[in-house]
Amino acid sequence: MLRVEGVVLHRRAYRETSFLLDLFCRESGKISAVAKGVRSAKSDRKSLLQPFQLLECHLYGRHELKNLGSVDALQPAMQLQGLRLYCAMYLNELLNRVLPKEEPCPQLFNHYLSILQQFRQLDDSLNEVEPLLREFEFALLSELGYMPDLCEDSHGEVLRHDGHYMLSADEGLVASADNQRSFRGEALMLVNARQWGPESMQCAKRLSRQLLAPLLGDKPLKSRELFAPFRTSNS
Amino acid sequence: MKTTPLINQLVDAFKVLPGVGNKSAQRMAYHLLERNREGGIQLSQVLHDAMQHVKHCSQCRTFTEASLCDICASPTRADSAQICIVESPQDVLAIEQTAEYKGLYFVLMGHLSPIDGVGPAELGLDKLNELMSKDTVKEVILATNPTVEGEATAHYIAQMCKSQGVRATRIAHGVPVGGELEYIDGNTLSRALSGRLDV
Ligand SMILES: [Zn+2]
Repeated sequence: MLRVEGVVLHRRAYRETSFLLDLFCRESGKISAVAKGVRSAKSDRKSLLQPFQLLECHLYGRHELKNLGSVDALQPAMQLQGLRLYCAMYLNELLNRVLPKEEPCPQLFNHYLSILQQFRQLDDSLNEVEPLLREFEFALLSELGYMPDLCEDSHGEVLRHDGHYMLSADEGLVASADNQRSFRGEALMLVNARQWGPESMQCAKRLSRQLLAPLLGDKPLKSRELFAPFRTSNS
Repeated sequence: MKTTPLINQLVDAFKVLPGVGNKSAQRMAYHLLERNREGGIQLSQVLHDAMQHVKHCSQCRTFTEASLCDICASPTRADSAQICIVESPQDVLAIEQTAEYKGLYFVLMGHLSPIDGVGPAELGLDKLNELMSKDTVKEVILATNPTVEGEATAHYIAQMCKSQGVRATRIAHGVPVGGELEYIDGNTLSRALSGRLDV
């Protein structure tokens, strides 16, 4: 028996009355489990087995697919709405797509929880939520070993304010001429210091897209479609 | 016992039904073969016809064999000021059984769940936008399920309503009628508390 603290990333109907769950757990990483009999009218576990609420779960079984025993709420349900809810769904889709199973990453888990908490204090504007998304993506990329060093280029030289750099999968930042795919040194330094303004946000977004692309393959993240109305009206 | 290829096929075919495993499928197949050939033939014909001819209403997306469903085609409802948004055709049946509601429906055939590849386009929200732009429509009732995905969907559609200047309302959630508070789960109870009304 395994006692874990975690949140539901994804649930889907399974057989007549069960759910298949992907859980993101503090000490165990991403775990899959079956919750049997949960969809019947009298089970109250189905209200708990939803994304974003911190739960204590008891898991049974030695196989990769565990059986879910009792579940308790460790926090009240996150009643997120609007853009912040879509952002939270985006994080879950991202984690579900790129996080390998059963690899513990407690720091990333705590980061995830803290973002959900911060969402509650923010307004429904992309300017407010995007820095949090980028910081989380970078943390995730670091965890997976895909985050390049943003302090120096491929030759170990400190970035120059007026320099231009291209991202190479193997070498990190490579000094280059100023072109459509290059990043400005100054913007990269701001991103590295997590100092957010229009230019560093733009730079962080391009960086993150390029770095995530090989992990996502040719299937883009669907949650991005939910942000479209906010792009036209707010920014 | 030895079976034949055709009987095997029949048993396998029954397994497409939800909740039907090998055992139940076998029972169904042998029951029809032994005791109810006529019923079996009728089942196969109706099943075939329904699978071939039931499609989606061109206005509200619910199931129908006509191009417009009965509700959308009804003259008393066609110019209704209300559209009720639900996730599935069974939800339409449930609401119709209350006989409380006399407006139109829009059936999403799901809810927003990007992680499962379901976004606004998959729910036919462009079609809903069209329907909402009719002058007669004054209110959109959001009757999606009280799940995270149902809330996300309700919120997304509420936003569409806002930009069209249509009133959006959300059905109330909380303690079931005839229920007892001590048996209600915490999440439901906190929803009921946060949605309380003046009396
Ligand atoms: Zn219809």
